[in-house]
Amino acid sequence: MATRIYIASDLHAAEKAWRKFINAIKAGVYKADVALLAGDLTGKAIVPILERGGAHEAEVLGVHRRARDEQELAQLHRDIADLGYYSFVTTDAEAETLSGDEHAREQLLERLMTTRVHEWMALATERLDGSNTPLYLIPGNDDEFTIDAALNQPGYGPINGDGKVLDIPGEMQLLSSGWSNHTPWATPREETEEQLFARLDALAQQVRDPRRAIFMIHVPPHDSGLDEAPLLDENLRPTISAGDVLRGPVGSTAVRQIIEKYQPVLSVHGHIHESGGERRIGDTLAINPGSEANHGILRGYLVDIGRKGVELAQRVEG
Amino acid sequence: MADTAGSSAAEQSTTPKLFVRQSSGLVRNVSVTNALFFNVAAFVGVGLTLYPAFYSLADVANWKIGPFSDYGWAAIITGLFCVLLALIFSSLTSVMPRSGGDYVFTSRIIHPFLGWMESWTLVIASVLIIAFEVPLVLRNLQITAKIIHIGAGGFGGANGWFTDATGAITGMPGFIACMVVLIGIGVICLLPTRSFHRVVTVLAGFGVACFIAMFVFGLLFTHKASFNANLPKLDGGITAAQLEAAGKTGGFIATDHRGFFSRIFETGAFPLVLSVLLFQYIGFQYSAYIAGEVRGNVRRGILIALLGALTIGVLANSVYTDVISSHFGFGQNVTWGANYWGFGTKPGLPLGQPDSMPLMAAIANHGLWPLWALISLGGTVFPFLLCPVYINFLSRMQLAWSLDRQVPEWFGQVNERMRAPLNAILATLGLTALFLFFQSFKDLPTFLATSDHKLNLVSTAFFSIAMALLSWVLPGVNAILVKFRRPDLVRNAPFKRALPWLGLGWIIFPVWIYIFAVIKPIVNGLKGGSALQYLEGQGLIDAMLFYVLGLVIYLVMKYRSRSAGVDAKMLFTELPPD
Repeated sequence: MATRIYIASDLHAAEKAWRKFINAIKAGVYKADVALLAGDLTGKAIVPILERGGAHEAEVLGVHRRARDEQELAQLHRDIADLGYYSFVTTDAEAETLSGDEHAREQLLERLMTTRVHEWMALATERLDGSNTPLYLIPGNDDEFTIDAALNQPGYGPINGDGKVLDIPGEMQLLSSGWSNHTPWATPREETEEQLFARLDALAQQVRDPRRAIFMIHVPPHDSGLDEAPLLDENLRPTISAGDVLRGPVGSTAVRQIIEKYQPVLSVHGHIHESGGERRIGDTLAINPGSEANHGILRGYLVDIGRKGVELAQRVEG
Repeated sequence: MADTAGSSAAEQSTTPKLFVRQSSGLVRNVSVTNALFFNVAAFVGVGLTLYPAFYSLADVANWKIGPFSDYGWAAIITGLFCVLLALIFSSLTSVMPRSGGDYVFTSRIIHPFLGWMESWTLVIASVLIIAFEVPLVLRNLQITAKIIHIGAGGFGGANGWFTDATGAITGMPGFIACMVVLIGIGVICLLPTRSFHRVVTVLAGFGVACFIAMFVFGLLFTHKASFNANLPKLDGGITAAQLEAAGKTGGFIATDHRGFFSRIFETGAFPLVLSVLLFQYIGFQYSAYIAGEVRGNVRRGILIALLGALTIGVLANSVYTDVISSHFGFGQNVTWGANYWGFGTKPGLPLGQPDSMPLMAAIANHGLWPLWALISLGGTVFPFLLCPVYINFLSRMQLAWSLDRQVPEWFGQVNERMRAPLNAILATLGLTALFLFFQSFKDLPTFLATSDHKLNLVSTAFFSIAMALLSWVLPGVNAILVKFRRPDLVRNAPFKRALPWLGLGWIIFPVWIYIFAVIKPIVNGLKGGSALQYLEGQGLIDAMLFYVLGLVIYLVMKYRSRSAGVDAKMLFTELPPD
């Protein structure tokens, strides 16, 4: 009997996608034995909800929204959260001040991020109570270290596998790392290719049998077709030619080397949202489910692993 | 990691209405200008120099009321309806991913089968457009040589290049030349990303410059009187007056005096002209996909990008075309085009070529032949340019099919060296080669090609129009149904409340056209023949075959997936968030 792995990644604080993910596990929609979330849990922006004349107003994706009562305000918060943004109620004056104060914005963002991660862990713990499908997750390069406390808090159901090799159902092992090679944005968890290789190699040496192991590494292997991202100009804007965005490989050479060296049965990645798919690297099936979480769509992959290796790989979305 | 953008972008994006994180940016980061350029490049192409020849493609009596011809009015009306389509696309692309385009929308909103059929038929329609464009590249080369011949001599035998004894680009010479063009297109498709875009940008820039030059210098430096005087000297005595007279007697130019609304709402000829405009606008579906990436105020950005491009497309097909053709004579242009497409023979095909704008300019003003030759070369470049861009789009859709197991996985595999879905690109090129083969050789059975046993450009065009039925209709159905089928996805969509009405408003248009330009002629033809039997007899039966082939592929892949343990139902199972 094969072990079915359900994989998703890069939810980036998108509330609806997280709830879909948890419900898919809870309801056994995909009949998964193990669920994996390959990093990047937190979001990228805050939408201030402004108190004005007894109502609350905000601009969401260019659309002006106005909440007249508490119910509409709750819905506004939820709609913003579904997009993967954070929201907080403030005044015009405070919003104006914050827009010019980077330090204060960062503090606010960290607080909102940590709060949401706590909420997510609590929701997962509550809903997956009694479930036979364990959920393993990792932070990604975008995630601040401040959320680690929430991820590691005792009592929460989801298991933070970052920097560990864990035994998982199906007599398999799971190697996990949320670190990436350098990006143009100096994100919290990134390092040189050499450092990343050393980090991953040290972990891989703890694996008993790579053919019974899954490597969940947030960044995909370099030039694998799972790492095609827009090429950026000197101002970090996408390079666009003839109206189309130029793309190129931005994955990690260290991750590629590790996969080529150890040949795990399955490697699971995220990081590059628009480059979802599957690819063979030697005997390893490498998968990046991609992400459209900010659109409320949960992209995922189902992989059945039997005694002889991968028996089925199927893209799913809900 | 974010898809795009960076800290400086984040800094610029931060306002009192949105605080953007420094360490990463936002997904939406294509500027409005870029999106606009993309849209224009995607669907303004083949007509750069040959738009007047398209007056006659529908083989109906053309007319002119006010400043515009029936073709120009059709361009404007189609454009107005396409505003609704643009709003639908921009709304759906704002809340749903764009890769895979219509396939993704329809699969999720209606059913995966319809998503497959819509995208399959769109791919076939697009491949047919490529097959339509390739001979036009060669035709434009001939025209360019002809212009040089008029101005400076030489190239006397240009009309015989790539042609068989009939003077058409067909048979073995035509096929070989088309294959050479197709290989050139294939080489561009397989260029590394940066080189591909560099080539496309340079060629597009050249094409656009020629487009502008034709309009400005064509009107400034040529005169109808000199055109009329010079034409018979160059084409063995055929005059513009003879052409116009032959057009009236041959039924290519309307001679009755019905009013504007009577012509617009008639159910015979005008829907056919509208169908030709749908054929011209087909790149519009592709161009809308990028709308979801426009940064800033999404609604405003999309409106500027999509509607701006649409405006340019409408102006190109109406004002640009009608002003220049009227400058040289509307009537003679209609008949000249009809004779080129093979609908008429009298008084002959001037200079053995279609009524290309720079060719007419060269007739009127020999002295500026280098300018006209350069513009004509631009007309050669644009259809050539369009093909790799289309193939690039199609390969993305084919990749989406592959991931959804609608086609075997190997089909969408990304080639290690090329970093492109090589198999998908080769399949597209191969199918194009097949259509070019059937345009060149009389090898089609009688039931597919009643008169000549092969496809010609006209039948290829109508074959493509028939294949595009679902691509035009289903976006309207999606807009009507999405609120009921996937309300969670459109809760924050721009124009959310208006979507069903936009869908309803839009769907009237393609349904009207397909009823009166496709179904009615078929019914008439089945009743005992009509003037349109030629069109039905070739393109439409081919189209039906490909609809059936799409159904067969779907069923085979469903069976294959089920045998392999893939549960297609899971692919699109909607997960409840609460």
